[in-house]
Amino acid sequence: MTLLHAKNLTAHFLTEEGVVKAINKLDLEIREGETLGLIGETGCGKTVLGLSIMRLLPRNVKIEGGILYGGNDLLKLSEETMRGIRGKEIALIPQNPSTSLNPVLKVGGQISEVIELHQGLKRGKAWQKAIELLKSYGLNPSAKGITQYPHQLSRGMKQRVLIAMGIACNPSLIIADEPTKGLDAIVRTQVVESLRELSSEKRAMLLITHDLEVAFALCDRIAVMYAGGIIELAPTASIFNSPGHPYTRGLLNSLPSRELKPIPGFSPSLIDLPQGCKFHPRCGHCIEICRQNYPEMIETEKDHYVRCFLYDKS
Amino acid sequence: MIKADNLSKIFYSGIFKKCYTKAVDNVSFEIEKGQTFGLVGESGCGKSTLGRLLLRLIEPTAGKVFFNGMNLFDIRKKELQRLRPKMQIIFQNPESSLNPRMKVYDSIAEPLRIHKVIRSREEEKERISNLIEMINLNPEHLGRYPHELSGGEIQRVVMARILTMTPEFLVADEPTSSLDVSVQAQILALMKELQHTLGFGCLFISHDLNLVRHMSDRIAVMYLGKFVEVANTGEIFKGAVHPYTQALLSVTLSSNSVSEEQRMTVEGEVASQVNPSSGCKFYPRCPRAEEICLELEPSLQDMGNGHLAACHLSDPG
Amino acid sequence: MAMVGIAVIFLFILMAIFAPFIAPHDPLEQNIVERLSSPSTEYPFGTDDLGRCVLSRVIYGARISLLIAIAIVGITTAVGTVLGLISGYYGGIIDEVIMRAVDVNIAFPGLVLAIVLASILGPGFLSLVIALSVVGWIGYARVIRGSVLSVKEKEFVEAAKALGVGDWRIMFQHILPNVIAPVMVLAMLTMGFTILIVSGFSFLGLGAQPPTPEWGYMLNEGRSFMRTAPHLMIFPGLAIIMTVLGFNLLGDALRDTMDPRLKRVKIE
Repeated sequence: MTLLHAKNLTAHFLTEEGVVKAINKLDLEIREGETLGLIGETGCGKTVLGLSIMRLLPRNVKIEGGILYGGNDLLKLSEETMRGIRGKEIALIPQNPSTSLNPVLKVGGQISEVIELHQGLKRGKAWQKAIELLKSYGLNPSAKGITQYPHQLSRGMKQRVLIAMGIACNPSLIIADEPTKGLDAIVRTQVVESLRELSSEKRAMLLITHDLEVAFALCDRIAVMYAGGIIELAPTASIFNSPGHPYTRGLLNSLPSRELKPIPGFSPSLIDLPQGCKFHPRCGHCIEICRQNYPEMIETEKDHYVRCFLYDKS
Repeated sequence: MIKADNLSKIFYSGIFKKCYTKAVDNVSFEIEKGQTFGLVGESGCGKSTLGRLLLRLIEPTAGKVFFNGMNLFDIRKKELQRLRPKMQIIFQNPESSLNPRMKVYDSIAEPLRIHKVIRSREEEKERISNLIEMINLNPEHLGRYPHELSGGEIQRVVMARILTMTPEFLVADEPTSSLDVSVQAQILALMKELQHTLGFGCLFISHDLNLVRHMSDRIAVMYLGKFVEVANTGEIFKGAVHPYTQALLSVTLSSNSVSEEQRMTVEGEVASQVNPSSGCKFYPRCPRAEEICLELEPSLQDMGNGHLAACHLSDPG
Repeated sequence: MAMVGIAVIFLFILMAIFAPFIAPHDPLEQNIVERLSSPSTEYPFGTDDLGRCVLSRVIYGARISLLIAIAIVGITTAVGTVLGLISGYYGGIIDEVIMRAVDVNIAFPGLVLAIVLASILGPGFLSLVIALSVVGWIGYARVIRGSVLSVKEKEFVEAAKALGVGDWRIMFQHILPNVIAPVMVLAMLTMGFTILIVSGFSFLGLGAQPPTPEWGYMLNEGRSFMRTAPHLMIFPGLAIIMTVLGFNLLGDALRDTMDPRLKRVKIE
């Protein structure tokens, strides 16, 4: 049932300004076939988690813990083995379609490259497959799509090309990193539709986003991340109907579709994290123990976990 | 306070300047003091261009813009420079909104210095620290460079800079699109508060209808350079008439939304604006299009109660 | 590596400044009796065919080379930067005119111009400086213009306009600091190249005139005695090599420090 399990994961970046504690003792399971949303704001470490799974982090990172997948710890595999997994079993749909596509290669070529590499098909066959893929996304391949260069496509289309590249080899886990960032309402809906079709094919997806509305539309479960750790984990409906953590509640209230009510204070710097519960400086319900100790995950409802002392009966 | 009259902007491109794009096509509207006018539309519909035209940051092809009765396109450069501090703009990308080589303090002080408003360094320092308090910014940031600040902090600095000259009109061009959800809420709450205190008029540009709903008194929906529907905020959400507005409304994702069936699908991409065809610009994507839509371009008609719409299917007459 | 470059250049600058105190002899003083003598304690670099101390001439030569290089690079950088700024910022006709001037300039070989000027003004450093300056500013103009074109689209420039900031202030306060970096690197690297060119011209007889102790000219003078008194060419030659190398190392280091500053690791 569990496809991937990040266990006690810690990732610290060693920089000139200090140690950036991007991920701290994080624990997360992705189940087979589910779409798990990873919600968090800029600077909470969610993209770092995605990159950790893909082992695409820069050299100045200190990683501890394990990422268990298919009986192996991804953090301990050799680079060569990892390369065989990347793109084939675990695929990344990166942020920023404008910079993630090679501007001097035609779009069709970039898709078929992935296919050639992992499925061993020859160029002609790979192009065929690429064309089919693009067709299934409504990108008319003979006219546009295949024979276009990235700069000739709109943002929405570029994003869908990236999606096509991601699923070209039928991976069992897709990590989609902010796929709707900066997109307009209508284009966003189209990309969400494309993503929805992916998940219905029984493959797991880790959807990393700060857009709660998109998560609501696509995810089975949602994990809310704050300052390097998961603070709430529950099925989607549960998160939206009965959010437990004060941060989650604050986040929902600040949505434009709700009250647009701000959460007081600012996100903590990852170099200078507060003691105890990382949210306590901004929390309206802060009690003494919150300042000193780091709360555990507590199951408040079925399959609904909250990391907050408010629910700690002991 | 601000009045746009038949404003148009055409961009020419191509080798012999044969291709043209009507970024803004014959737009007219008014904004009162203390009022927020929301402008909604997809990327490329011309809303940013319109915002810049109102401040004369670009020259129009046709039309007039009146600021407190004066036609901005008629006055001399010197006069315009004098007026500029009164009409300001906030941009979408915090990263490029401030000069990366200037300290935050100097960026904020610049308008004070060039317009020779302040007589001494002390006065300048005092003015700026008051402003910093007003926008809730950590005074430590004053000595830093823009790349050391977060997106939300930069937008606050931009606002402080604008406030140094007590503006009467503000164009907010997607000011929070690149910011996180909770930072967005903070910045917009701040904007609302400042507007309440200082009473400036505002053109709030966004592609997010939900945001515009919270911020505006009156909303205009823009498509390919034209206003297709204009009404008071409540009216737009209760009784939108134009198919494009309806599509935008249904497509606005909401965890509060009722059902899937209500969702009106809009196919395709925004049509190219280069060398546009005749008839209604929305025709290729409109689910309710009829023959007349292809032949004749609809104009904005008043449906009563200040609610305007440009659609043959909703013609009152 | 950068440290080596800085050290070398610093050394030469010191040499140039304190020449009168360091040089053991007057560079122009002739001592026919001692002509063409090998390096000794009296004359550490030996003497040339007129009995002049080679070491002193090399030391004083530093003054000349550095001064001329600074003059040329200074003029070309200033002119090129200002013209590039104006051209990029205003565009339109002004841009066209300046760019056409650049095109004309490229087509015109500096060597020819130098010779022509030499025949009009008489050979010497003045004509050399003029000739090289006239030809040299275009590189900077183009680099600056390119950067200006992209910087002027940035929102902070628009914001400055919206605040009522005048054109000239925008160009020099806002745009210039953001485009100057590559020019500084280029200028540093060009210093070395300029010294080389000036030496080359002097070697050909177009720059330094006797009895000026300029390195290139000394090379020329030493040519006839290559077999018998190689020290006449070795020492000025070494001086040229070292300064050029020093400036190149400095330029490379400068370029490296500029780059990483633009890259920041952003954690999402």
